[in-house]
Amino acid sequence: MEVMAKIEKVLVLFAASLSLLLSGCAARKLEIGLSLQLSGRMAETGVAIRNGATLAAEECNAQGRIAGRQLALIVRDDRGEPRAARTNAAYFGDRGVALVIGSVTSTPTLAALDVLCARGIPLISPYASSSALLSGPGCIFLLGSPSDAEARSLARCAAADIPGGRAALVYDVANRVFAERWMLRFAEEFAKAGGSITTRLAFTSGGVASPLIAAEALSGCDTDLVVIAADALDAALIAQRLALLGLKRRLYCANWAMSPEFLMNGGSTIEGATFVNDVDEEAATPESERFRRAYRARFEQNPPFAAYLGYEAVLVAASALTRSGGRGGPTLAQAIVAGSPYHGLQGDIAFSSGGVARREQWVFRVRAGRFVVEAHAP
Amino acid sequence: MRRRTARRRLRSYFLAVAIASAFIPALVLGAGGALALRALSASYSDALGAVFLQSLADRVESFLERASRALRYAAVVEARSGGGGAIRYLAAFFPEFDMIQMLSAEGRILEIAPYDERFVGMDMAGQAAYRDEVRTNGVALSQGFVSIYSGNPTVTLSVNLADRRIVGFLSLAELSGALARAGLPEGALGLIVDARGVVIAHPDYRKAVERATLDPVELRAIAERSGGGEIEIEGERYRAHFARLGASGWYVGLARTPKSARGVGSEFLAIFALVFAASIGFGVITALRGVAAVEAGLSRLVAAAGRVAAAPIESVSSSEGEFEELGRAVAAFEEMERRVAEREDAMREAEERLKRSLAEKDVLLKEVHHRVKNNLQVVSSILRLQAGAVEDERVAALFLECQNRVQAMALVHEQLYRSDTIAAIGMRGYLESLVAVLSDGFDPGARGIRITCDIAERELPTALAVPCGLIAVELLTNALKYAYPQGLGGAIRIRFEDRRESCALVVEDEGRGLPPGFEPGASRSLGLSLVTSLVGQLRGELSVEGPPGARFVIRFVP
Repeated sequence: MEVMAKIEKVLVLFAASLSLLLSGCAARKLEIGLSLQLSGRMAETGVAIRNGATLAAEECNAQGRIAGRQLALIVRDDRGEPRAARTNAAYFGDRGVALVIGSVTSTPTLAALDVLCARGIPLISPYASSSALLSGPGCIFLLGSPSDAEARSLARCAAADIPGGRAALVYDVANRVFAERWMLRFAEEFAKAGGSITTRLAFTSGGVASPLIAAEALSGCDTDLVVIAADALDAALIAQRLALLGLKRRLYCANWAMSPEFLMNGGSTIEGATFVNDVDEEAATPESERFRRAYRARFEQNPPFAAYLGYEAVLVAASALTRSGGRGGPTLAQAIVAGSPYHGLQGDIAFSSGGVARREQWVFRVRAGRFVVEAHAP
Repeated sequence: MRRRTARRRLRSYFLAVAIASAFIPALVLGAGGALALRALSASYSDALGAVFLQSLADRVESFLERASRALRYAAVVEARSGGGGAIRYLAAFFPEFDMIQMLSAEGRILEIAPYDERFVGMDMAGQAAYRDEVRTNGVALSQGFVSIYSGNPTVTLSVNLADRRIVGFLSLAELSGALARAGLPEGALGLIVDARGVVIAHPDYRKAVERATLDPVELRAIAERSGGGEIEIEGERYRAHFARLGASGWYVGLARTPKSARGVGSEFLAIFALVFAASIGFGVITALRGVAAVEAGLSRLVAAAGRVAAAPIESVSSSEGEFEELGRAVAAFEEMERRVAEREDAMREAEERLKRSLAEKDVLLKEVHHRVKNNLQVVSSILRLQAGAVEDERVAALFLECQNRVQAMALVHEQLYRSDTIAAIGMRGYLESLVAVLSDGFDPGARGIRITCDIAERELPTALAVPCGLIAVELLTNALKYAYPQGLGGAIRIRFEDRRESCALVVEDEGRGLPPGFEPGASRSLGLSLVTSLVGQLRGELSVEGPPGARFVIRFVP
């Protein structure tokens, strides 16, 4: 009986050791959630962010582990819809991801923010930049300049281009969180700089008809410039329709539309269109060059500027996770601020305590089918 | 020390039998079967995969060729007739084209189907389709993208028409539908990927819309290897085979999760390994428990057996055995032991009672024999007194003969009550006493007659001893009276032979012998008549020889 008891003990110890060993082998990866618009009108931007983030995660994993664990991106499509964004946020919360990156536009981002903050999960927004996002719970970090700053900067640029100019404002209320506030800031700053707003025209994106009708509605307006806060296709279609209607006006667009789709669908009608943005797709910095080479090798195309932001979002997350020892939640949020500045692809990224990255802004104009940096943003 | 050795041997036997009879055959058959099944399954799976890839490649190339042919035909018709009718006709009857544009040399829309006049004149020079190089079949094929207009995974097919270009936006949704309907097993995934690694058709249509992007380097490496390879698809590792399509540069692939790729045999092997490991553990524990249980039971049995044998070996273990049957056997054995002990006690008491009763009966019987002997002795004395009282010598001789006969019977009872047993009589003592009695009566020494005895020591039951004694008295009396007339002496011998299976009583003399023609059965003498009658009681044989002398031999089986 004694021998049998000893053998039983040995067997139990062996089974326990085996289970511990197996559980150790299957150590859970350090997960980052990506809630992006991968289908629909802004899908190209969402795909670009995802591809940039994927490249950064693969490079991080190739270089070593973070707190002993590999990084894993959990990607979910929110279709640009607030409800889907909330569902994704709840899913990520249940799954216990360390951090979430997303979304593409401000309306779904704001919808997810409440859910994530309630669970203490930090959110890095690589693309959506409405300043309205900063008025809520403080667990969001904007990788780009806030929309208020961008709108004001673009307004100053427009006022400088056309002193005392008359502007028509066209904006898409499907993304109301961003567009309304953006337009308000633009109008304030433009008026402050001596310009005037002659027309405010809201439309709701959805099909190709809405932007065309909006463009036609401008035909009777007395304007020097048209300011557009819409996505790339809508902005391009408005430009095309204005051109066909003979309303050749200077275009000033929110950087929401600054993507390859704008160039593809705008043709020659968008020549000279002006943007203010943080990222230059053609910047000659060593980091940008290396990134473009790596991106082209991985995805066999040039990276759109959204891909830069996706890449940088994962860089910031990985660095902060290293600092927090792999822990998420408030610890990670503190680590994101404490780890500033981060060495980004185009200069340092320094977060304020409010979660806003201070970055250099540039004025871009479309020249021969490309976004070309013209000057520092005023 | 011996018990410890026996325990080890018992444990070794249990384990050896368990391993030899179950584990080894199970291991050989199970592992062999699983490996064979795995190899067969993998081979079958690879063959099916190759068939699937070939059929999928045919389907994709056929799809593209059909669309290209339709677009080329529309271009030919448009070149002849103009006006955009062919384009609208194509869009209406070839629904895979979500949109068809006819562009000017500058990239402006001249015609569009479905028709929307607001688009006519738009500058589409920025589109890739406007710049895509036309291939040898006269069609330019773009990379895959998701149409911002339709939301479908799309490629553009472009044909040149003089100074114009017709661009068809071909939806690839049908290819995703075909993959979804392929009926692939769980864990297997059919894919169509463009040259950059972007997934343009997926069984889950939404995945195609989301444009998962495979690593193009891995993709090309796998396509160049006949055995396929591993690739990551949306964060999961898959075992995949890809084949590159010639015209489009796309890839068709079959990806399987590692579990699915290993085939049925691996699942069987894994299940078998688990079951086998569990059975080994269970078997070892059971065997050891069995040993312990049997050992405990045996210990109790041995102890109980020791008590039955009145030589206790060791104390019974107090622990309960694991086997119910063994426990019951032990209990039954102990109950049996208790009952045997009870019966032994009862039998011992009965035996004592019987012995006491037998002793009492022995005493009683000896008393009876004693009284019978005394009574016969009284009869003998009466006969002797009566013989002394009559004057006629012949009558007196008859009384004396009777007295001898009674004396012979009395001697039997005397022998019986004097001996230890009352069922048999020692013939030597009995016959020698008879000779002594007859010697007292006939006084042969005074007549020069010498009686010699040669009697074997043999005990006979009373029923045989009495007739045998009476025969001896009659024959000795005859010999004393008639063998040697007055003045002649001689010898009389009496012999009792023990021949194991039979006995023989011999009385012989060397006297004047028997009269001629003597027949014992025909004799009118009372003595010889008695002899003949008594030989009959013995179921024996009587033979008579002589002269010279007389020799009587009685043989009988006791």
